Order: sequence, then C-alpha cells, then structure tokens
Amino acid sequence: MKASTRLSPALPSNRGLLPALSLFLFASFSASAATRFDEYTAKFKTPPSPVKVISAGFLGGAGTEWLVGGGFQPDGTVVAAGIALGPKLDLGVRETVLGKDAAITAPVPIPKLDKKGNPEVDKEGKPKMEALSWKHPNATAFVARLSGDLKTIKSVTRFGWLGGGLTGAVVDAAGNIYLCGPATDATAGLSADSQELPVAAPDAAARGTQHTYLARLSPDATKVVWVRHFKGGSDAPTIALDPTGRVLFKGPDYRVFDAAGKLVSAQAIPGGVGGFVAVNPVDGTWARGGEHHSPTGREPWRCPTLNIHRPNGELLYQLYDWGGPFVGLNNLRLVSDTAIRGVAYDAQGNLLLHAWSDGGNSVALREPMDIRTNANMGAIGFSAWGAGVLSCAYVIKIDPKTCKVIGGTPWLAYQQEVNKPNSARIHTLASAIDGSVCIAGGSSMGLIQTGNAIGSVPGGEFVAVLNEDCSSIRFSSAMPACADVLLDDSSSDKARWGIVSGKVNGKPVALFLGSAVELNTHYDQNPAPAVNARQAKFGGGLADGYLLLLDLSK
Amino acid sequence: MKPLLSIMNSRSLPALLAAFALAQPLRAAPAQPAPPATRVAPAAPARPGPTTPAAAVASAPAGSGFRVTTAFPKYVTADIEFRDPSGAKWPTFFYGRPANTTGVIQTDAAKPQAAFVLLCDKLVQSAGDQSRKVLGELCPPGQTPTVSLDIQSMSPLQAPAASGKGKPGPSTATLQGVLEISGRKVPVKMATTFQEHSGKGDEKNAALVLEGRCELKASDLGLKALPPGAPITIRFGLTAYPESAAASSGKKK
Repeated sequence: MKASTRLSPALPSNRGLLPALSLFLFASFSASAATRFDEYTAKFKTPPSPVKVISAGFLGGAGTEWLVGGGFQPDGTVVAAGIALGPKLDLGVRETVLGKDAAITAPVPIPKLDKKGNPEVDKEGKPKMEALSWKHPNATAFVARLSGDLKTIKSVTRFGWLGGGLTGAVVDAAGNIYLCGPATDATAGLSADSQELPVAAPDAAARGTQHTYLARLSPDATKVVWVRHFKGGSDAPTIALDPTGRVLFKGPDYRVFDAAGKLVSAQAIPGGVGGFVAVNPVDGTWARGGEHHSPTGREPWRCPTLNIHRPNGELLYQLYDWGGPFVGLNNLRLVSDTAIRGVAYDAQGNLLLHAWSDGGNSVALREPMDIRTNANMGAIGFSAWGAGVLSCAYVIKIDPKTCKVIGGTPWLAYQQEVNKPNSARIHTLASAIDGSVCIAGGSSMGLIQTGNAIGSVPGGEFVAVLNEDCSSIRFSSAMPACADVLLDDSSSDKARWGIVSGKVNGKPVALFLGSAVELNTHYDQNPAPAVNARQAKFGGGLADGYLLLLDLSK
Repeated sequence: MKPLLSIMNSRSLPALLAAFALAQPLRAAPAQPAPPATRVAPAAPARPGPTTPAAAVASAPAGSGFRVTTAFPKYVTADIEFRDPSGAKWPTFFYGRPANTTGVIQTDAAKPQAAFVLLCDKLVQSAGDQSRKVLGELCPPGQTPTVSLDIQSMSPLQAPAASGKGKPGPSTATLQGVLEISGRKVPVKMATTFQEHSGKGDEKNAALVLEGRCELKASDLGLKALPPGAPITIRFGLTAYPESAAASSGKKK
C-alpha cells in the first residue's frame, strides 16, 4: 500500500503530460490538416465591404414560371420579368393581359432524347427530362412590379398566352420597361406601333428561334408602346441599355434603338451574336470569346480565343490565341485546356469575361497579349496547386484601351478533407452599378462561402459578388434548389441567372433573377434560401421564379 | 536491350553525355564576327512564373555535348521574343525550330562550343492589327517575317551561383552570333543560362535548356515607330538534346 501510495503521485503528473501531449499533437495535426477550404472560409468569414441581403425568396404560383431580367424604376419599384408556361399565372394579384390568350395546356416534363432519338435514362433506369428553357413552346412573358423590399407585388402583367416568350428585360431611367425574346405570330399584334424590320444577314448558325421581338412597355406595364420584330435565325436574344439610354438588342444581328423605337443602327456580326459576343457600349467595338483545338505537338490542347473587332467587323486584336506549339514550349508548358466561355462589357467599356480550364496550368492567368507576364489576378489568393484534372473558372476584367488585365481571379472550390482544389464553373457574369462583379455558376463540394452567405452546404449552384478589381469577395453563397432553368443556352456554360443592377431608394443594389424548385436534388435536400421573403415557400408547378436582392452599399 | 528512356533517365547520364561528346566530332568554330555593337544584358535567372518547376535541376555538367537539330524532336523547341522594356509596345513572339541538323552545343569547360541556327518563322497572334506590337511595323497583315538566330561561338561556361535554397542555379555563358529579321542582320551577344533537365516531367528526354538575352536599339532593327535609341530587349529560348536522343529520331517523339 505504501509503495502504491508513493507511486500514486506520479500518476497525476502523467495525466498532466498526456493532455498536454494530446493538445500538442492535436494542434500539430490540425495545423498540418488545415486545408485551403478552412483557410479561405476563415478569411472571408467577415468579408471586407460585405453586401447585405435585402430579400431572397420565391415569386411563383401553382403553375410553372421563372424570372429572366428586370430593373428598377425611379420610384423604387423593382421590375421582375419572366416566363410563365400557363395555363394560369396566379401570383395572388389579378394580372393585366396584353393581347389575346391562345389555348394552351399545362406543361409536362419533356423526355430527353439521345442523338438517335431514343429516350435517355439515368443510372436507376428512370427517364431523363429536358431542362426547362426559354425555348419551351408555352413560354409567355410576364412582368411583376414589386416594392423595393420585394415584400409587396404592385402589379402583374403578362402577354396573352403564346403572345411571345422572354429572354431579356431592362428598365430605363424613366421607368420604361423593355422586353425581348422569341416572337410568335401574335407578338406583332401587341401594339398599334408594330414594325417588322428586315434582317440583312441572319445568323445561319443560330440554334434558338427564327422570329424575335423587342418591345417597350409603359412604366406601369399596362400597355405595349411599340414592338419591333425580326425574322431570321437567332440564339436567345438579349437586351441592354447604353449610358445614354439607348436600347442595345442582340438577336439575329446587333441593333441600337432609341426609346421611341426608332432604329439607330443595325450591324451584322459574322458568326452570329449569341453566347460569346459582347458589344462595347462606349465605342461599338465588339468582342468574341471562344476556343479552338490546337495540339502542342505533344498533346492535344484547347486554345482560348478572344478577338476584338472594330464596329465594321474588321479584326482589331487577337488576344489569348497563342497556339498549341508555342504554349507547348518547355519554357511555357501552360497546357491546361482553356476556353473563354462568356464576355460582357460594363458601362465604362471594360471587358469582363469568364473562362474555363481543365487544370490550374492555364494561359488564363497571363496577360492576354503577353504570355510571359502574370496577369493581375492573385489578390483573393485562390490557388490551383495540387489540382488534378478539374474545372477551374476565371473572372477576368480587361482594360479595352491597353488590353491588360485590370482585375480578376481564379474561381475554385476546395476539398474540405484534403488540401486540394475542387471544380467550379461560372455561367453568368455581369457588372454592377458600383463596379462590383457579379457571377453565378455551379460548384463541386467546397465552395468558399462568405460569412453573409444564405446557403448552407457548400456546393451546387452559387452566386457571388466580387469587388471592382476582383481582389476580394463581398458575398458568396450556395443557392440550393435554385437555377434549374436555362435562361440562355447559346454558350456551353448555359446561363441560369439574370443579373441586373441599379439603385433602389438611392442604394446601389444587384438583383439576381432565376428559378427555384421545392427542394434541392444535388448535394443536399434543402429548400431555396428565404430571407425577408414575401413568399418563402415553393408555389407549385415545375418551377417558380426566384429573386435575390443585394444591397451593395459600402 | 535497355529501353532508351531508361538510359536517358539513368544516373550515368553525365558520363554518357561526355562519351557522346568525345565520340561526335563537333563543327569547327566559325570565325568570330566583327565585334557586335550590342550590349549584353545580364543573364537573367529563369523566371519562376513561366518555367516549369519540374525542369529545375542541377546545372549542366562540364563536358556535355548536345545537338540542336531539326530532326529531333518533332515539337517546337525554340522561341525568340522582342520586348519594349518601357511597356509602351506589346511584345512580339516568334517560335520555330533549329534550321538544320548540324547544330551543336559543347559545355566542356576546356573547349566550349556553340554553333547552331534557330529559325523562328511563326508569329503568334499574327492576325489583326499589329501596330501596337514592338515589331508590328515589320509584320504587315498576312505576312510573317522570318527571324533567325545564328549562334557561332560561346564563352567559357561560368559556374552557377548558389541559389538561396542551396541548389545550384543555372550555369551562364555568352553566346555570340547574328540575329536576322526581314533581311537585316545584327550581331548579338546573348547572355545565356544553361540548365540541365533530367527527363522527368513534361519533357521526357534529358535536355539542356537555354535562355539568352540581349538588348538592341530600335534603329538596329530598322524600327521607325520608336525613337532610334529606344531599347529593345531580345530573349531566345531553346531546348537542346543529347546526341543519343537526337539519334532516336523516329523511335520517340
């Protein structure tokens, strides 16, 4: 006993050592096991200049509908325009109908067919269904006007069923609402001021529609002031405003209209205007992104292209297009397949683009006209080391005068358990009124979310707001159950969100518009986020509209 | 028979190269050109961004012989770039391959030798307006000038300075020769780094990687769009291969 008693004091010492040792080992292990997912998630837990979520929620009734675009009227009204598939649009407000209704039936999922025309099935043998898109035969445009906090619907207007679809919507400084999309035979009858304008050189490669329209609605959306329609092949038409308020329409060709519907200019763009083409609102030059196969001599390689054209179509600058043999040199070896997947200009004429590569060893990280100079794209800190073959996205902002990169970043997810990158893609890109860069896309597990995120599981569809030079993240959030519908399928990264920016009651805001379903089917089974929402739950049908309104005030 | 790749990657590579160097008679050194008017730019260490990390290996051992031949490999091994150090003009990049089958590099300290011709006749980003590039005025639409670099001699190889990480940096030497563009010949001295590559990584062959730099004036190249005295930096890159690799042409890439 005595011996035992004597020995016993040693035990507490041992017990004291063990926890200390355990702590040391745990700390060492934790330090060595920390991943970039942990690092970046901690870094952006309190993002600099965070945006504030004003509202996030559904806009949909028992039928099927989704949102495409919109804008902001001088009195603070938010305009959200979208597509309804009918036969009812029941948003809880009696709607104004422009034109006459045609008879339609409730939409049903359309089986997906393979190249031979046979139904495709998933791993469980269940038939695959086509994603809903702007090409749906029932697609009919509608416009909802909401209060600035999205809590109240002020009015709802729609075209008569089958009166015309919708792929773009903007609002000018006077509150006029402009819509564009695929036209039907009924579209021309929506206004007494209706003109069919000839298309000199229709886009033969266009896959979407052969008949498009551009229309202006009164600010209260009760009247179609004028409509212009065009017969000629087109991808999903788009619409934008230049700094002077002129309407920029991309359809079968590129056209500029004034607010009265008078054609200011029309310009054929060889190869079509869909997907990878953007026109500089400042000087009329235009950019076409893309890719082509260019083997290095040792391996196949996909080479990104970005051509800048003069307004008359003449090639001005050939950017990024280095060619495989040159990139394959031993002193370069930037041989990750790379492609420019989307282009846009901001109001100042800066060129925004998003790119994809299949690894981190990409020419996207170099200056577009100087491959041996690193582009200014590293401030966020996202790195691709340790990546195998994956999808890596890039946001790049280029000064059109110097063609130098003035901001940008790789955009990646990071595995949570292993210190490796994971795939991410961007499919939608736009500049906000304050210069912030808004993106949306899809991410593998390991999306870096900011502390103000409204998603939970870090994977799947996401939206993000970067600061002006893409050196920091102001907002990044998974968006479960959102963005199933294809708003524009003319590029390989099919756009699933519309992004508009402006001021509401003096505050700079960004509005993401798209679709949502009842529950997520990828990564988790969560519903779409609802924050200060007028409608927090799914309304029914195959999809609802979805709105995310962000306050960009700093 | 031991696979050639294994031989190339074996630890006996220096001895193998030395043996080849002794076995292969080298081209007689041509007469020294007139003293070039060019200023030798200091040999710049390989820039960490653009180089392949896997290629950073020990410096070239003395006594190694390498071939610069159009017969091997089939992919592009040479490039020449022209750069306006002020940044006002965009750089112009050319790439190509050795001009013939007789080029040699001998890094033996006792008898350094370099005699090869690079033919860079491919201009990158050759479409569109070239006027913003430093050699834009020499590249009218639809026409690509041929750039060649005829290296005729080299100075003794300087031992590498130790890098901060304890690994030796590249060896250095000055290569002398003639740069020709659009028919205009300019003597040059290129401060050049020599880095041996072990055959691991993307480049599957043992190799000697050269990067040389010099500086000329705009007037030397006949450029009118820049002030005559405006400096133009010129950089060339080349991968040379041991004779054994060159001899395997047709069997390997």
